[in-house]
Amino acid sequence: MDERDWIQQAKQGDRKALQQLLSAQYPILSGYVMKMAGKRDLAQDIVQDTLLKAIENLDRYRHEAKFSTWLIQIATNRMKDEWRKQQNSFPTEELEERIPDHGKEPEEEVMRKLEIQEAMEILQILPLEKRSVFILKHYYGYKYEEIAGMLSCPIGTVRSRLHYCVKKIMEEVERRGSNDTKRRAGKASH
Amino acid sequence: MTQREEQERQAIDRYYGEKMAFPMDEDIDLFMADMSQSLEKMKIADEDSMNLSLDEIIHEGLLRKEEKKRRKEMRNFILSSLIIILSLPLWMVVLGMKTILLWQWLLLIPVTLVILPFVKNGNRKEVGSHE
Repeated sequence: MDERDWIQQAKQGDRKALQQLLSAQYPILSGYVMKMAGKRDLAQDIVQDTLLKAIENLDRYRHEAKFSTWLIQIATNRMKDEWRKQQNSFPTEELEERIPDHGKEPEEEVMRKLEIQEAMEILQILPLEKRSVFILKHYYGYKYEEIAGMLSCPIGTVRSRLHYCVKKIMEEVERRGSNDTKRRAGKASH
Repeated sequence: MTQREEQERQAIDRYYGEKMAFPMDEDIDLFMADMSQSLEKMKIADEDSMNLSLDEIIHEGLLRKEEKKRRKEMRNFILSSLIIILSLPLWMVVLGMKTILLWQWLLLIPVTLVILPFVKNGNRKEVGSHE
């Protein structure tokens, strides 16, 4: 059975089909929202609202785009509302403690958490609209055309936003890298 | 946009396999190497650690859907009733009467049946679209 069949059955009120459909999209949706929001509690609220809205309005889904695209579009709009409410910033938090363990060696686990923490911090530096372009392209491999459809903007804008993000990330990675080097040099001289 | 900027954008296109770019300067090759290194550091897998119960969400979603449907039906009923009541004076004029009899009320039923589908289907909006 493919996605279209699940949707059709879910529209007819089949709860199992709805469960199947949402379970399949859940990792992408939660990953996208988490990277956008940078805060687990806020991300949970947004994912929950998005899924509720999708269930409520499933009859309106017209198969013009992939189901995941539709969900991301709803989540992005919900996120914009939240962004406006919180006056153009999401409160940040220490994510490290809340990243789940993958059962690796403790040292390896710490390194992994630090890397995730750093990547998340860098993502939060990017402005919301530009961040969503970067996340959709870098992590989920959507085409420029699809991203333009999701965010209702021209392809040229998608390209320019991505360019902005990549440059900003390069600068930030370099800045953090040089700070680390200075820190290490400082420690060595003492 | 400068030529340099366009070349950087093409380098990004090429990195993401979006489309083949033109041959690039050595300088842009350096940019691309730095970019790949930085973007490599940004790789994070989806962390599936949200404490959400899909089953509960689906249950609540279906309840909300029912509630929404019920509200919509109620709204349609009120609207159609209003249309009937408001169109009464018009019918009185059309039929040239000062009072209206019960059988003449029945004339309003076909009118309501014609109008009702328009009321039901009116003002639809895509959820994913900008609000």
